[in-house]
Amino acid sequence: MVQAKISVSHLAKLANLHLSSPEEKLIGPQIEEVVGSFSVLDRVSALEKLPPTFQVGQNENILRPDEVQPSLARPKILGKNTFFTTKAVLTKK
Amino acid sequence: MKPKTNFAEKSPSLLAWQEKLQKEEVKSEEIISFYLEKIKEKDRVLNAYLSVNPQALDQAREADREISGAADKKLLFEKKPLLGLPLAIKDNFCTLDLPTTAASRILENWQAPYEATVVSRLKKAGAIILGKTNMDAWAHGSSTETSDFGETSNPYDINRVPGGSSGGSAAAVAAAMAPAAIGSETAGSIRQPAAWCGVVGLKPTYGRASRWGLIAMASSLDCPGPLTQDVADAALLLAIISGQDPHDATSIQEPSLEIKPNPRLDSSLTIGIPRQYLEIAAPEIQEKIEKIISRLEKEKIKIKFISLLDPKISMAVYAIVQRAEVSSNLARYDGIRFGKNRSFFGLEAKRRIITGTFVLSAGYFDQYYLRAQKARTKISQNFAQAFGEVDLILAPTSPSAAIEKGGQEKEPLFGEKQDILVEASSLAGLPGISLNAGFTKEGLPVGAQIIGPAKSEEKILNFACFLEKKISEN
Repeated sequence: MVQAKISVSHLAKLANLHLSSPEEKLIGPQIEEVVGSFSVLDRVSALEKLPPTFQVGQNENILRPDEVQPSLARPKILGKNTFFTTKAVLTKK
Repeated sequence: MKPKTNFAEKSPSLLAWQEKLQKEEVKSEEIISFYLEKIKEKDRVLNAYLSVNPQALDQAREADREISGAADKKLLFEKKPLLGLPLAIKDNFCTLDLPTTAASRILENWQAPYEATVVSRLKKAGAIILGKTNMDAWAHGSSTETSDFGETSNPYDINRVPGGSSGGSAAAVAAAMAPAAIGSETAGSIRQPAAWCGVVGLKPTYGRASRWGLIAMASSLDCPGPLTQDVADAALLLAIISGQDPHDATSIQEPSLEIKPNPRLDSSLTIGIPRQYLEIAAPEIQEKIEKIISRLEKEKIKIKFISLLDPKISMAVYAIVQRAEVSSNLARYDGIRFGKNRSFFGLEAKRRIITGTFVLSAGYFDQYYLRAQKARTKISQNFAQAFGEVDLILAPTSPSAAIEKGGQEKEPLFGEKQDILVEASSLAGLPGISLNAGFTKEGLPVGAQIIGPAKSEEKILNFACFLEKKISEN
């Protein structure tokens, strides 16, 4: 396994996280150390030939009947409003 | 005089309280008052609870009325086995009457609009929620030190951590601040704090108990389960929280598991001891397990030393899979729909999200995430092979007893290292139980775990019940 080049600031941007400069300095080497430890996977024999296990359960296509069922009561969720109020997502420049 | 550091204390089990309630020797109000007093007395020091139910006493009085009004009390308790009995719930299960925070600032004071299936099943069985317990924030950790609302202390030594992430649940049970509690495990979060606090922790087969309303950490691994004072109570709670749930498509399509654990030994059992697991453990922990082994040999139980995959491989697989799923699950916390914005994530959550983002990112997905999932297949195959030779596996739960506070922050794989002996079985979705195997010279509890094949809870609970009896005889 080749050790990857890690750009913590780029990853933070992808993950929509803001890191302070001290956090970035602290986390950067720690993540490199963690990722470096993953090279232990090289010791698993014939790894590439194995199928991946994304889930351990046996369930497949579990669907409920397409019937209307009671849900959360509208007044309980919205109170006196008829819509949700959230903070603005888009701002004018 | 040295300040008091040991706050551990036993209290009657759920089944013991249930018998007294049924015979009307005690009132639910008295039971609830007993635990509320203990919480008042000890929680300033231990910080095991994030919230305490202000309605608990009223609910107890209501339960008392139901009990005194019932003509057939036995029948009443068959229908509602937890009637009037208190339970502590880890704060990552959604509750309607109390806030649900997952010990995170982002969800501080958040009130869930719906209830976790596990919680509604417990309430339907008559349980009274005493309060919500502290944990590592988002369940990220094995010490309860990453909680955004202060660490929990280990009741056996308040200078040490209780383990985690269900550290508050384990500490509450160990300090008589609840007779039993509910926790959740992704890999170790029930068994490891149970081991470090000297209580029983059961992690069922993946899918046995519904994840609906459990704040997701790593969805392919998360598993609710009980932390109790004995094996019989663990079986009692499993019977209530298990069973197929239409809200969780990964839940096992079987009804609930009604098991009454039997301490009588099944002499046909072969118990496997994984050499690598013993070697990783500290000498004092090894000694306790070896003592159990020699006791089993005296009972003529077949013991077979087996070789499992190096736990360091499982640790890497777990770190990759879990952090990948964490980064995906925590992406929903954007501060727009509910909770505060992403700047409120603690350092540990940020570390995990960023590592998870990395292993899933273009160019690295195949190298890390996909290879980890392939190695996960190897882990499952390895267990399948082992269970071809032995019925159950016995091993230490954790490489050490409870450690001193302050270790977590400097160590980026702290949680994974503490859970090295439980990660493989969690990745394979297998059930396991941790029970107390004695104490170190310093008086700290040592945990022994029993791991079985998928859906072997009955076998595990029966053997655990036998072992519990044998250990207590000493």
